Amino acid sequence: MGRSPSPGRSNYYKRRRSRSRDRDRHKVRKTSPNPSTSKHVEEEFSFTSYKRELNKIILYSSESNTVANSLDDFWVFLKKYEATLKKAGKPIVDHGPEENSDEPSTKFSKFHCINFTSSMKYMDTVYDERERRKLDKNLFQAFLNIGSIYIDFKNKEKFTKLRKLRQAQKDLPVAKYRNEIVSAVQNERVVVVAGDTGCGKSTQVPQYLHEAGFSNIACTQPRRIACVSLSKRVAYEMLTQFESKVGYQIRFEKSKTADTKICFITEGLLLRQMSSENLPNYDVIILDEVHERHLMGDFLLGVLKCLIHSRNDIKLVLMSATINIKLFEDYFSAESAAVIQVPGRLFPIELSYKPVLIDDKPKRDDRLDPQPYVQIMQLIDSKYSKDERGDLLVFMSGVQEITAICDAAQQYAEKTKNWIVLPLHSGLSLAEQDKVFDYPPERVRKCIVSTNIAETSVTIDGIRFVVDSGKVKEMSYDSTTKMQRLKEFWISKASADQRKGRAGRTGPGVCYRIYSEQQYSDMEPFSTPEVSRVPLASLLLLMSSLGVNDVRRFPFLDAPPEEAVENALLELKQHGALTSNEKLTSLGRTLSKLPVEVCLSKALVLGAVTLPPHKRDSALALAAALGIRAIYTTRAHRDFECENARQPDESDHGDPLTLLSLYCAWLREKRDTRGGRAWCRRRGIEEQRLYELTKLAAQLRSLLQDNNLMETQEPESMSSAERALRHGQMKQLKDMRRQYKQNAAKDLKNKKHLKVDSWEIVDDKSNEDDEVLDIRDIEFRMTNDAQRIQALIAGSSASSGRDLIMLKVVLCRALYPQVAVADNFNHHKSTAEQLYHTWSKPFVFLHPTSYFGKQPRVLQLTEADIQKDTPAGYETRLPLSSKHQILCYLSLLETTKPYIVNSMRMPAAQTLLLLAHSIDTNIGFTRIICDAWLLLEFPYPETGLNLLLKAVKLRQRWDALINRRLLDATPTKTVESELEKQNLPKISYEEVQHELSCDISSYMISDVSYTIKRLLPGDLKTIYQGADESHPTVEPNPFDENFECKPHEKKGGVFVTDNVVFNCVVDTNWSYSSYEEAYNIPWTCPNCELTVCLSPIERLQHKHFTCSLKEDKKIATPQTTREIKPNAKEYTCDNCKQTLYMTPVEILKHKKSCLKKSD
Amino acid sequence: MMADDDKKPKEEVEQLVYDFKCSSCAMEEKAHYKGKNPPFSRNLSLKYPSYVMKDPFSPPGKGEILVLGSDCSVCGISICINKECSFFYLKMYCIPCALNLNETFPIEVKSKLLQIKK
Repeated sequence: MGRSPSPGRSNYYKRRRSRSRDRDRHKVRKTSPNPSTSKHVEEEFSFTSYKRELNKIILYSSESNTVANSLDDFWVFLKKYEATLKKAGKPIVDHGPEENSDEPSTKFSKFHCINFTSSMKYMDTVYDERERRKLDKNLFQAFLNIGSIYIDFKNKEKFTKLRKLRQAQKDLPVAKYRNEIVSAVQNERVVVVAGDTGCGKSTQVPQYLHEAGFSNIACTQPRRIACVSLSKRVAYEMLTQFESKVGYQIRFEKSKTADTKICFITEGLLLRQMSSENLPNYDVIILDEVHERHLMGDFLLGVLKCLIHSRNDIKLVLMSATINIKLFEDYFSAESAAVIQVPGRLFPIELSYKPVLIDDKPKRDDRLDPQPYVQIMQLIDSKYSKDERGDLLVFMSGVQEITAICDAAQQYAEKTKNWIVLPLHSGLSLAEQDKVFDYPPERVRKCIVSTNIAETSVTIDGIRFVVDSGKVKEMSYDSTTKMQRLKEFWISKASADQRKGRAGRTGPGVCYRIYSEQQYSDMEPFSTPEVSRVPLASLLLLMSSLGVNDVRRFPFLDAPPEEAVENALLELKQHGALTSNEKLTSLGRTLSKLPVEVCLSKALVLGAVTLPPHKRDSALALAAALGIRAIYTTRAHRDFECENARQPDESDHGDPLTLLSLYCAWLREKRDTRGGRAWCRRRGIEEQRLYELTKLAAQLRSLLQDNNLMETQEPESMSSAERALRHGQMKQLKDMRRQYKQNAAKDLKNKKHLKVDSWEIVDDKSNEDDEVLDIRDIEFRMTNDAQRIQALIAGSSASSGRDLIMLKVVLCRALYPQVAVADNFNHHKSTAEQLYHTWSKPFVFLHPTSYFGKQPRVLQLTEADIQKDTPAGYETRLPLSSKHQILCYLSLLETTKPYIVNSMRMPAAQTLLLLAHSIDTNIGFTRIICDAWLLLEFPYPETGLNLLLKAVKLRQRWDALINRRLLDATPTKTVESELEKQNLPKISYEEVQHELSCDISSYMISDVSYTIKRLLPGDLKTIYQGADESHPTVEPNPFDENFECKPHEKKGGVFVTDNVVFNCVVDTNWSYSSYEEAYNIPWTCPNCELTVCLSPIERLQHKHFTCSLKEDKKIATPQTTREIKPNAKEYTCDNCKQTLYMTPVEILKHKKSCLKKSD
Repeated sequence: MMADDDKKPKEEVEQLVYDFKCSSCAMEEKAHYKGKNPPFSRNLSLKYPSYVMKDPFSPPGKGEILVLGSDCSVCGISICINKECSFFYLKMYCIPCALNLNETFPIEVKSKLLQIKK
């Protein structure tokens, strides 16, 4: 027997300490190991020989317990336990004390020290022939005793975990203020809890309030990710991680249920809950991170300030860093807010100013000199031992600056081999961003070069050194030109202090400021709040929908600039979201419910109304694609191979359609292969964004459905085979997801370690892991089955024909007046110098990464497009062509230059006449001004008039369709509107939509030659007749019978529709003579063959009102008036190639007449 | 001791919550059960009635429990299983009671207690 009698006290299980020692010393009643076959007596006994039988019993036992749940771990434990007993010379099989031996004083047993009794039922297992031994009941009993020890051990482990958790909670700085906070919330309406990062307010305060009896707590967060992680953490601390007591609710998902007592929610979502009229019954609303001054946070504050006056049952808690507490205190002075300050947990930070002296500066100012930053790395190397851990965090203003510093730092790191340089900004892929959390090897420091993302949003542990450039690139917004500007600014004092604080989170730290102390004292105390820097249209619309009557008087914490508010209101009026007296329209109400920019929500509504049902997905995908952040990685536009790989899917119509086409290509990739990750990487696309796009599109769809603007899809019928297939697929996917989650949990334990040398290749390596489970792909496939993907592809693709034109027109109408015209001299200029002009902002460039930025020639007229022989008398230096194009764009962005971002080309005159807010024309309809900005000249007689007339009529039909659809979508309450509904002709939407889209698409490609000219302020002074001239009204009005003409007060002329002013533009020589000519030459009506001398408008009046054959004409084009019968079907005539909606009888009739005609 | 926590009507048994507080270290937790045979883990039993909670660190339905402590078998105060607060030998004792009864324990137990005393 190999049992050593040594009294070794080694632990049988690593984590066990004192207890094992104690027990091992106790004498144990000796029992023979007694394996049934005496042959093997010599062999060492071990329960592991019975592993199979025992496992069988354990696993077959009807109730699971600790042993069964962690069987592998148990066997490890058992082996170590046996080894320890052996070392101590004690028998392995210990049957424990006799039953009923209740006398503790008489017989000692180590099992008496254990509270647990494992009581699994013994099962007679099959006798194992080969091993020739059997597990008998006695032996099993002895085994169960070990099980009890294991359970006791595990219990202690869990108990310690719980104690540690409670201790950690108790140690948080905020814990001392618990009672103060709770009683303040109970007694006051508004409480401000101010405490710096790390004081524990975000995790603890909701728990304190819950334990104090509040049962429906909402806690807002500015960032989605924080909602998820906080809800997980708080659930864990409340020991409810497997329940839904603590939940979260963010844009795409929620874990909130009826049981949820504490809900972490994004600011935007809480606001939307307020507008939905059924605000959940919160008793406390906690606003976290209010000091960050995000747009939504600020607005929410204002809304809640109003809310607590009408709702006495709601308490408000504001949580902020210790910045500018006074601001919040004053804001709620009427409500007498209680302020509780919690000190943070910061270690001392040594501060050192290291300004760059002017002499040191390189000659060219615009270049950033990385030397001061490298010098600090050197300084750290010389001053601090490599054995002392602590990483460096460098704050730079933007991506370019980060790259410059990274390059220089990398050079230095290659020499010294003790630095790992990592960039951090939001343009990086998530995997690249996550790298900043990995551990460096021993004696190596991380150097993280970051934007202000690491100031508050991302917290990295282990930072000891901070270098602050003092600069930040911030977006500002010019509401007049609707242009966003990304400019570099000095940061605020608050920001500088925040950056400094990042050095002292885990221990004493050092902060180097690359500017002077004087500069610091010159800084603004606080950063500009977002409300003064961003477009306000969405916010104001949301405010209106929340019932804020006068947005100008809303109690903002900091009022936004007056001009910005006025411009945003104007924009909303132009979109038809507000009436001229600023009341919310039904369109506006619908738009406010969609969580994307106003123009994109408008594109959605227009798309839902105008596009045929099977193509509405394209509008959804397009709006979602423009609504998410850019899908391209930084590599996408630098790497030639990425550009090449994307090229086949680029659309020469522009960026929005390229996005759509890439999305469809990705969907096809998803349908045909597993994955898509490699596909995205090759193209420089961040796949995560495409998943977001899919989710956003689905969310938008359901919102449109909720608002009755889209039909709820009937679940497509599946055959039983398909259903079975899908069932199997789902099961597999669920397994994969479970596996992924297990792996992820493991990964979390052993965090990745960084390598020094492989810095450059790390990218490829970490990306090559296609074998690894892709959780997003799994989830994507769980929500989208093959059929759904196929439907998405079919619905989202719009590569040609009417679908494409309609999609473009819909988007363009939503974006209007965001259009730009080319500069006259573009054809002489290089790609980078192509200039464009918008209504509000002349001289803007095409963004170099945009489609047209790379292919500007697509926008230019070719020699063949320009008409050389102009009609007699018409002279112009401008090119006369039917191919003029304008750009319709999503936004303007100024970085180094002002750029047009996300643009799409459109035929110029057609688009302008259809969409312009105001159209002015001369008497002969040869000179037409759109939005007092662009002058179109149509030198051929009647061409301008015909195009304008078509545009006006189309617009009327389109508007009628939109209004009808919105009217039907809103549940009506009044009798009149019900009656109004009944009076409307009962033509099916599909019919009207179909005809409208046929007519719009043929209108958009109409072949008309014209010139286009941008009017300058000087031109505008002389181009209008002015109100002095007398202007006869047009009666009857051929543009709109029911519209009563009225003169325009300034320009002269008369309104013939809401937006068309006739006869206000002055004539030039040629236009006057062409008018004269038209008047003097007898005109023959094409319908009734009447020949008279008429002016263009008179001809129109004749055609519309007096022509005797008017009725016949209508019959000739029956599509517009015919009523659709319920049994009508789509029918394409073989003979005349027309697509019609007719009943079977009508089809027969049509066939007959059609044949006759062709005979 | 008993307190109604939830007002859910369906899960009658789950409503029972024991506020457990260790009188030695002031640990405070809510226990789901007090006794020797926790209903949520049927093939486990306890030798001495204890405060038991469903294991908060494992998914539900796995029969995992966490024993927090018991009432001292001598003086009746509640104590947690932390070895600075309690001593277990067939029954639960708070440390002062265990030390008082030192003489009645077997020799192995005595030496153990002696260590704790130190």
